[in-house]
Order: sequence, then structure tokens, then C-alpha cells
Amino acid sequence: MLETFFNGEVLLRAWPLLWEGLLLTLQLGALSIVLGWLGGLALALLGLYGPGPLRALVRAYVDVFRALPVLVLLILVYYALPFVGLSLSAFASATLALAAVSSAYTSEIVRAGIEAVPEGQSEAGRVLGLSFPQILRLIVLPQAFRLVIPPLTGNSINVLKDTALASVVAMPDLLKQATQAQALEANPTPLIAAAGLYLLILLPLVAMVRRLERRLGRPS
Amino acid sequence: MSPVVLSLTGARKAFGADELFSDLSITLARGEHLCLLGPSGAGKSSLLRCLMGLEALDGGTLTLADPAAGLGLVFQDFRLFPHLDALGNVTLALRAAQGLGPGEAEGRARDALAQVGLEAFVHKKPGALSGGQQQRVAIARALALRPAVLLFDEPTSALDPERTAGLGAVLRGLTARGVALLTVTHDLAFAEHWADAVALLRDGQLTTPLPAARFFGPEAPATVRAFLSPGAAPEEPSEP
Repeated sequence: MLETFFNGEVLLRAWPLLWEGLLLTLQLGALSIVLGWLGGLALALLGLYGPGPLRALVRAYVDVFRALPVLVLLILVYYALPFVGLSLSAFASATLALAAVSSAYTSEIVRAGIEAVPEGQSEAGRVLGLSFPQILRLIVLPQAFRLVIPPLTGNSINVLKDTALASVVAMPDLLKQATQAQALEANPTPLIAAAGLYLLILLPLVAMVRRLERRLGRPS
Repeated sequence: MSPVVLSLTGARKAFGADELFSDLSITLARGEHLCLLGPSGAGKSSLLRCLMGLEALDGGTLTLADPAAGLGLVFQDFRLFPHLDALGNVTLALRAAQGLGPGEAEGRARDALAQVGLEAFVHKKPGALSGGQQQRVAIARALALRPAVLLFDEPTSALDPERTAGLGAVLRGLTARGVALLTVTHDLAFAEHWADAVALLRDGQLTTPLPAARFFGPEAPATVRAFLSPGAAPEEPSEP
């Protein structure tokens, strides 16, 4: 049993591949998460304070990318864009798809956070002579960020999990390396190890979200 | 007679067809504390919001003797910034709106906090302060910008009698330094005890400000006496 599902020799042979895959997964995850944050913040601000037509455009973007399955988007980017002359690498395609979807979710989270800061806070800033950008940067956003850390972390966990979808477009991430090693060895140990690695990274993050939510006293 | 620091003439404010007040005029002298009384919904808070520019007047002229030294407002619910400590609350506008360097801003903020007796609490966040202390931070925050006039919206609504006296003493310290105060309140005792002049805003009209002793005395105009003791003046019901 142990021989089959957790074979030490197989694991040792597969380890270099798994390690490479893990690093790539982390790179893809980190880049997508950061781009998703930046895009989401920009979308939230445009959606709240931008001119009318732009606000409608942001709403449409957010709705579309929250509705579209990440896998469908990824396959579209990787297999369909080349037909319009835009060939992206597997890594770039995956980053684009993950960040596009993540920014839509992040935008909704940040918007809710900004709207949760009482209007009176902005008025207090106006009364003190601050400009609108100063009120946003110094008063509203710092308070909004505190509120959105738990849901934002939760969303980032989802992005990190969704990086596994990149294996579909032949990106040698952790899952792809594990399935290849499994095929090579005819043994499921690399897959078990990969699952273990995902848990090793994500479980502490999940626990952190729970702690943050409890500290802020508002489950989401 | 102290020089006039603020004069508002012919002010008018309406919400749609409802006229809140019209042809309202106020003059404030340096170091004067004027208290406005009036029933709820008379437009007292709206008047303050108009003076601060949070709402637009529908008519009238506001003149400040020194436009550089503007107006400050202490909200009824203080509206401190919860993510900043007391010092941060006071330095924020000094740095962002007035462009002071960090050292100068901190010096001025510490002075303002000392003026309201909070030098020991500069690094406390609003959540760790009592209501009365939060109010003092709000006063220091407005004061640090060196306004000629400070506006107070219902300053005693969250205070017990002891803290109300403490607030009165802080306000007296401000007027002694030449800051003019305009307070709107429901608190008759506060107005009687701490204001230099008191006026009544009712049915869109502001009575002529009178020294507190006269406003609350038997010689006050009939509208004032009717407001202060509604039972004694049945010929003019307050709420139709």
C-alpha cells in the first residue's frame, strides 16, 4: 500500500521535477495575484469615481469576468488569440487569464470596502481642507484596506489554487510535473506529493484568513 | 468691541419648496461665543454645513475678515480617523492640506493637543479614548489649522454634566485666545452657562443675539420665552 501511494524512491526521482513545478506555480500565482490586486483597485476606483460611460464599462467587465469560468478564458487566450495574431506563451496566457478574473473579483471586494467607510469620514476630510485624491489616499483607502484584507486573502487563495488550470495549456506547473512524473513512473506517488505541497502552501493561508476574520469580527 | 471675524448676510437655504431659513444674518466678533438654539429640524446643523461649504447656500454672502484663517467644524459624532492615533488625526491636514513638514506639523499638533489637555494621549487611537477625549482630539484637529471661527454641532450631546463643564472650560480657553465660536445645541443649560450671546433659530428666522442673562431672563422677546417655556405660551403652538 505504502509502496504504491507513497513510494520513497519514486518521490526522490520525481522531486527535481516537482520542485521546478512548485516554483513555477508560485511565480504564476504571485504574479497573477499582484496584477489582480492592481487591476482590481484601478477597476474599483474607475467604477466608483470614473465618468459615467467608464463606470458602465467597468460594471460590464466585472460581470463578464466573474461569470466566465477561468478554464474557458484560459483556453480562449491560449488557443483562440493566436488566430488574431496574438500568440502568448503558456505562462503569459495563464497569468493574463488568472489576473483578468482575479481583478474582477478584487474590484468588487475593494468597492465594497470603500463603500463601507462612512461618508462622514470624507466630509471630515473636506472640512479640514483636503482634496479628493488626498481624502481617498489618506482617509478612505487605509480604512477600506483593513476591511478587505480577509476577503482579499480568500480571493488570492482561489487564484493560487486556479494556477493548477495552467497545466491544461501545457505549462509545466506543479500539477503538470506531477502528472508527467506519475505517467513516467506508473506510480501515483508524485501526485500525492503534489497534493501535499498544495496543502502545505494553502492551509496556512486558509488558517490566516480565518484568524483575520475572527479578529475583525465579521465573517464573510 | 472686538473686530468682526465673520459676517453672514441674507443667507437663504431651501430644500425644494421647503425653505429652511431666509434672510438670515450672523456676525461673530473675535473671541465671541455665540450659541444657536432651536427646535429639531430648524436648520441649525444645515446652517453649519453651509458655513463650512459642505452644502451650498441658496443665497446670501459670507465674509471672513481673514480668508486665510478659515472656519473649523467639530462634528456631533467627532468623525476622527480611526486608523490614526490622536497625533496622526491632527497632523494629517497640517501636512496634506497646509503642506507643513513633518517636524513643524507635529509641533503644532502637539501644541493643539496640549491646549485641550490631551498631551498624555497623543499616541492613542480614537478607539482607545473616551467620548470626551475623542471630542477634544476633534477640537485639536480643527484648532491646529488656526481657524478664526470654530463651529460646534451639538457638542454636549454625548457628554455627562461633569464632562460638559470640562468642555465649557476648553471653549473658554479658545475664546480667550481670540477664536470665535458658533455652537448649535439643544442644551439650554450649556448655552446659559457658557455662551456670550444666544439666539433662537425657529420657523426660518433668527432672533437678535442677546447676552445669555437677557436671553434666559424675563425681558426676552415673546418668541424666545415661548420656546423656553412652551406651556406658558399656548397662543403659539410649536408643532402644527
